[in-house]
Amino acid sequence: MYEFRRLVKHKSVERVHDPVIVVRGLDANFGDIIRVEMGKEMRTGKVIAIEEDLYFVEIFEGTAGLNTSAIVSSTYEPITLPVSELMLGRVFNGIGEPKDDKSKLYSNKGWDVNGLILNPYFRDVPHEMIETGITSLDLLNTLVKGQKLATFASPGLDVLSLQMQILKQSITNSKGRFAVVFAGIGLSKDEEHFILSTIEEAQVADMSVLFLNSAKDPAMEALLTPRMALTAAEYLAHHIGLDVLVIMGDMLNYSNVLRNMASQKGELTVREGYPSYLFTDLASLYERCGTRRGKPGSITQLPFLTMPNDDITHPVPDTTGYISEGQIILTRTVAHAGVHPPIDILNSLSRMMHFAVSDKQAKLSNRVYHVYAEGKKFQDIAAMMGMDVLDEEAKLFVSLKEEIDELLLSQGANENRTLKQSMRIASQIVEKAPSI
Amino acid sequence: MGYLTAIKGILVKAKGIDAKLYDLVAIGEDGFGEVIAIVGDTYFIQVFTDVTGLSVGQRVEGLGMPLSLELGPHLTGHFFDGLGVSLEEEPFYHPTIRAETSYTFDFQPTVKKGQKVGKGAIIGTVSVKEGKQELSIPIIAPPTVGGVVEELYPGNHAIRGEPIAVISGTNVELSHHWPVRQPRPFKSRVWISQPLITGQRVVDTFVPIAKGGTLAIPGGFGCGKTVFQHTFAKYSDADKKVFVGCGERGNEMADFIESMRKRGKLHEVVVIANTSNMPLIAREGSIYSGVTVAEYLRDIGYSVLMMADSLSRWAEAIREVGGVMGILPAEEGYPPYLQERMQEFYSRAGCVKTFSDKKACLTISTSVSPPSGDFSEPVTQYASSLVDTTIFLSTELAYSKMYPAVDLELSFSKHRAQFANFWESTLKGTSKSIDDLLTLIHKGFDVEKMERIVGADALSDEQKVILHIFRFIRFNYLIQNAFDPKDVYTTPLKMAYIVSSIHSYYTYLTNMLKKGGKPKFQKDVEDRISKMRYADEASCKKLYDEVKGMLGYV
Ligand SMILES: Nc1ncnc2c1ncn2[C@@H]1O[C@H](COP(=O)(O)OP(=O)(O)OP(=O)(O)O)[C@@H](O)[C@H]1O
Ligand SMILES: [Mg+2]
Repeated sequence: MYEFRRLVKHKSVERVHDPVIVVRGLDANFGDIIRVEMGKEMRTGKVIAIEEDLYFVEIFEGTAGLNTSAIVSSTYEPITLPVSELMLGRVFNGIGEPKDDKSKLYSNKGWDVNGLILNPYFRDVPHEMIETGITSLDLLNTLVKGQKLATFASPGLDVLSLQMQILKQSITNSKGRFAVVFAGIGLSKDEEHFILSTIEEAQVADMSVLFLNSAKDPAMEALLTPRMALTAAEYLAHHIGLDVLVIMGDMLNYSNVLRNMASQKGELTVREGYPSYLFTDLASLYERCGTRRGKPGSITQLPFLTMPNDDITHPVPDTTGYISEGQIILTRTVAHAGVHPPIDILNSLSRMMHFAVSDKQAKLSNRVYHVYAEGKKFQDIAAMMGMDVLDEEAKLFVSLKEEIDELLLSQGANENRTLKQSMRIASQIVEKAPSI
Repeated sequence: MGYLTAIKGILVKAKGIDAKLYDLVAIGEDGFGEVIAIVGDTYFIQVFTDVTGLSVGQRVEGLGMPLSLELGPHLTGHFFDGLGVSLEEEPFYHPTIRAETSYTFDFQPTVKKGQKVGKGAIIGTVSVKEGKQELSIPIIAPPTVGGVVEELYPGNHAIRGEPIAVISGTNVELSHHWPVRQPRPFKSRVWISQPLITGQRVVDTFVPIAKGGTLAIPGGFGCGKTVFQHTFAKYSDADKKVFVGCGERGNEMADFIESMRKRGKLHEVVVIANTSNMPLIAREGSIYSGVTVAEYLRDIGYSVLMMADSLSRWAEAIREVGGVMGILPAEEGYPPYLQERMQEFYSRAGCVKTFSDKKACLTISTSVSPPSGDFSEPVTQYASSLVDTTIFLSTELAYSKMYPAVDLELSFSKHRAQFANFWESTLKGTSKSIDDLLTLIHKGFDVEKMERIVGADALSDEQKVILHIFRFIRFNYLIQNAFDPKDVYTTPLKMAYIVSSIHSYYTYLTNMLKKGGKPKFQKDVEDRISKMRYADEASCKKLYDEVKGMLGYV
């Protein structure tokens, strides 16, 4: 019974569906990567189920153009990424193949892209901030090493420039042993170009690794892109000891590919057609962050996703919110008010922040929030009933809120503010507020 | 020997094995799973380990027992995965089953040779060091073993493989196995009578939890379920706490153990962690492991609080298995038997008389994570219909950072009336104050809605008083900052002082109205009451006396 599996090398396809083909008597394990040859064309797939001698192979490139004459063989391996320190400075596509003009990465270490499970007992509580140079984050919603903090954005906002600004500045502000892994999912040609030129200009290529999945790539590759990026991050963090920030997006694209695949495969779907395992799938990505007690190296994640119709209760942002350690909200309303980056601070929260900031910063941040919320409250009243209904104190709050918008929350796409600078600006504004 | 015939992710099929329903099976090199259905000669097995790399034809072998835990004195202060395997060894997690044998304890019998003991009775103690403290942990015989004590072996023993006593021909060890899906027996049920004091003001006074009762906390993401559960674990007056991190975050677990360690309270907890990236099926098992450990601690005489964060992730694991098994789903993809499973689980809470004639209670507290914060979804609905206390958390309050974001309009405890005596014995008159203020709070919601429509000026004087006191309660009593060391815990006596003070103030204002006057809000009274939650008990009493004096109650 045990030996038959090593006997059959190649076998023909019995049935072709989309995106799965069924092969009888293949020699393969569950999860193996499968090569499919059809004339001169090579495709890649993965064993997703085995039933007696029937093997169900999901084809990454899709099954259009295949028929039962295809020849199938197994690599006897799950999906791996060759890892090495030489990944730094490189640009890959979504499945880890070089996209720059440099050669293929040779490494004798292939790491399973499904990643490592960091044992919670060996985790350190995240307690050190990453300075992104962006006030709305650093001062008010601090990104903490080892955490995951999701960013939800209204459709159509330019999140890519914010992503690039964070990438550049966090590298510049770090004191060595820091790298950014970027995973772009479903990018356009223009976006790819923008990413590459920004990184080159800022001279931060050495400390970054890019995984760029283009909108034109086979759908399945979108599902592999974050796994590749996180595997690279795990190697750099847990093997080399770097602090790694992983920026990924758009996770809505990712989730939609997952949804389409699930419905094609006839799997159990729940809210709005997303598969019942959406939470587990996203968590298997986002949980791949953290720091180890007593060891150097950490992974911090900043996933970005679009909120369809600005609806935070849509299954994808909602599920993400249940996994992420807080959320940063970017809205069109804030953008229209002229604030850039358009972070809606009142609805944003970094749950790990209190572990990482000084008492002084915590107090100042609370004070800014308080003044801002008061100002916003009176601004809303004035919008309905006119400025005249406000007393002097209320008017003061409104003008301070406007100052916060203009001087504190707005900053240029190349403006890298230190935490000290942010704190100084903030203090100067809230000092003018009546004490509570 | 059996072999695999099909692999479908979390579910595999095998033939030719010798196993019964719910038996554990070993799969391939180091995998294992549990038989969940048998059809003809085919065994359906849910797999606890990684299925990647498995192939048909691989070895499958029945292990001759259901999923069980090693229950013994080694549990408290330690950290296990969803199936009870220690997590304190390898930094990167790889699921296995492994017997824990490395722990040893010094056994001191409390029974004599020749004595007759009942099944599951206490037969001795071991002592463990926790910092400077020396703690004694009772040792019980398994619930299936009783009779005449024939031999006793005091002294140092490993928890497994070394007898500490022989009772009616059976070797008894420091630990014993128990199948997690089977509730542990006890002598008899006992009435629930005491509140679990959590130190959370809104909970203890308005939606109390009973020792031995059940609690569900439904709330959208970020509403404060985990913060609540952590505060319960840190401050509630149960002797032991079993925390099950079920499909949630690793960083939260790290924070939890770190803060228990810092407080020197690690010996009060058992942590079971099955974070969302650990195997899905073990997530399903983790809830049963948790409640089994909790029952064991109850059986040795402790008052126990078991927390599950979040029960929804457990329900989702059940849904996944149902989906792969092709079970026709009922609501939102959940299999029709979900509600029954939930009921079986919650019914493991309660107060009992143990085999050693001690009264001990097991309280169960569960988080529920409704998709989109929509309380009409099945898990929320089933949970709130099954438990004694439901604390609904409001997304709106959480977004305005009014924590704890308890929605008092929806939340309900069926034990509230029962605890009137408790409050009367804490401070006379408090139970009426609580009743009156809860009524006022409910009126407050209505008046607040009305205010939004007609504006503040159009409210009657009575409504103005209601709204004023309602908001005063909200900002000075209901909100409670879990990160402020002074605010995070309030003693029942302090709660009674504050509630009574607010009640007196409210009565004072209504009396003013009754006499036909205009309500005059008293800033100096309000100032004093607002300081009470930060004051120690003595200063709180002083403020209370002052308030009473100012309102003419002396
Ligand atoms: N009592 C409280 N005091 C102060 N802050 C609180 C309190 N409760 C909740 N918070 C704030 O809300 C955040 C989210 O709370 P928590 O992690 O408990 O949410 P949750 O309901 O468990 O969410 P999820 O479903 O995503 O796990 C906390 O990090 C904290 O900032
Ligand atoms: Mg939580």
